[in-house]
Amino acid sequence: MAETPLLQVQGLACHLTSPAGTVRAVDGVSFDIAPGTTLGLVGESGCGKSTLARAILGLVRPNAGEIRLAGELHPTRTAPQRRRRARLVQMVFQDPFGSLNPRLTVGRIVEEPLLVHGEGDGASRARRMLHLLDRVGLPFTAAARYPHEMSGGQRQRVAIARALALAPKLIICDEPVSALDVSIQAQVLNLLCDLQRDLGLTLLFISHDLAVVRFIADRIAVMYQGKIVEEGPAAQIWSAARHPYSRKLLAAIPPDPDAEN
Amino acid sequence: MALLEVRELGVGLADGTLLVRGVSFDLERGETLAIVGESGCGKSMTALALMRLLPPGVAILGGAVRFDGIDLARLGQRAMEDMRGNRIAMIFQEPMTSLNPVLTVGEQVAEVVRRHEGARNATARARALDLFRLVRMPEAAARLDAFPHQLSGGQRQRVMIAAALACRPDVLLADEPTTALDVTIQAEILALLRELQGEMGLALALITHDLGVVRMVADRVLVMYAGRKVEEGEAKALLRQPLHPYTRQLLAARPHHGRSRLDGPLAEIRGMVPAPRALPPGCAFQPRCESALPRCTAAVPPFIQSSGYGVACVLHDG
Repeated sequence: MAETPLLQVQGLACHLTSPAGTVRAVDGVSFDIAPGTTLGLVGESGCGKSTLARAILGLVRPNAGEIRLAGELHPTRTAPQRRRRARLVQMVFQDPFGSLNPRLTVGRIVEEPLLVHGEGDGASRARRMLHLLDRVGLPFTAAARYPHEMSGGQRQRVAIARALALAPKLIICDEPVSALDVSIQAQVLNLLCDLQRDLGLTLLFISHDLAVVRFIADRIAVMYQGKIVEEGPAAQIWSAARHPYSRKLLAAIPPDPDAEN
Repeated sequence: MALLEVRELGVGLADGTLLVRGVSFDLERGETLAIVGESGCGKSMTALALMRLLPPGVAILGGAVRFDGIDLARLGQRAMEDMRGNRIAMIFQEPMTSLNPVLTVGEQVAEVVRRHEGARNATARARALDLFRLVRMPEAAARLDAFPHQLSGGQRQRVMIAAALACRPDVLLADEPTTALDVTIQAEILALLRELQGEMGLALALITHDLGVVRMVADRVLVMYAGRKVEEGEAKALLRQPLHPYTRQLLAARPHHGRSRLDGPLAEIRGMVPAPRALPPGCAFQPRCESALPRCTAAVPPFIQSSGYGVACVLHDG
């Protein structure tokens, strides 16, 4: 029998309501992610990628469908339920400057999830924090610094260290390298690959950049207007995409100079 | 004589710290020059210096910017204002912050026409509509009365391009014009710039950190590192066989076509761009360079040019 998927999303629908009306941001989405693998989710702004991510985190209540983590439903009605969900799923955002508290030191930012969840004592939390900094390639001296004293790439490492603090099973990365220079993108992508291999993490990697997704993902899902229009092994989507929107995305990628004559 | 000739341009702070260090290049009519490099390499400062729109505290400290024979670096404030928009225009990364949120986009484009051509209201509006059609704005007439927030990111960038082209400038500087856009929209905007350039004979300088964008539109490429020009040449040749290790490492860091993590890790560029006040000795790239030699720390390598291709690296100094 096949291994239980770490994440199962079944018939998920999220409707966002505003004075202008209701938008079916996520409109009947189903997919699985096997443990220890990466699903790349691509699509344009407004296609529902981020709402889907928020629903998996438990920040948006779906109108229909269900989300199972390691085979179980994890309701988010009460605070203890939400904390249990947070132990399983963590998130890394595009702009680490916007998601890191500027008034806390890096050490405190990374320790915070442990504090909130009442993990260990001061000494063990500090040890864990230093271990996490080391794990993401930051020096111990980073602990005493503030986010504004760091570069964009270093801040994204801090965000990753914080996401790892509770040893979650699934990490959702929402455009984690889009704001970074290509040189720094490579560092962060390699780090995510190393962490996944060493810690057996499962990743949901959201991006509009198909070449980046092709690099990091085992499977790719293409989202368009709230629906997943195509899903399959990364190599197959890359070389033989079927849906017109997937093909349009591929066509927007500049040609490979080595492939020209 | 090229339309725009930048010679030994120096841009820096009041204390003499240089952000752009002796950059020279030409820009011809009908040509697209891509200026590439990581954040903090001086690309945007170079463009802002050409427009004389440098932020407070930053000034042109040396060199010349000759446009059609006139040195923009020494032009009076009023004369420069007439130059801006009429002859040399600029568009930026995030159109939302460059547009006035409480005016309709049609009015904002018409304002440019009125300011520069002294056109009357009805004429200006008609010109704005022409410009919206020129930039292939969908439902151009209806969009004139839209406010910026009612448009998509791609449509807002079209408005910015329309405003920039209102007075038929000779030179268009575009600073990361598609970075904030979705890839499919990015491809549309780049194609539009390319078409307009052909129609109007524009000289286009495109600033970008995205080598994919360079590949799609550039005729020539200028690579900047830590305020200096380190490589310049015809785009195809430079992208296919870059000579400077920085350009090579930048190209290698991108996930290549169809490449997967199973093929091995991406080539990282270790460390980061040095701060302008803390440049390493010799070649500024030497601490991050995979091909560095002991003599790289001795002196800044000169920019050596032959038959239109140039590079500043001791590996190619003779």
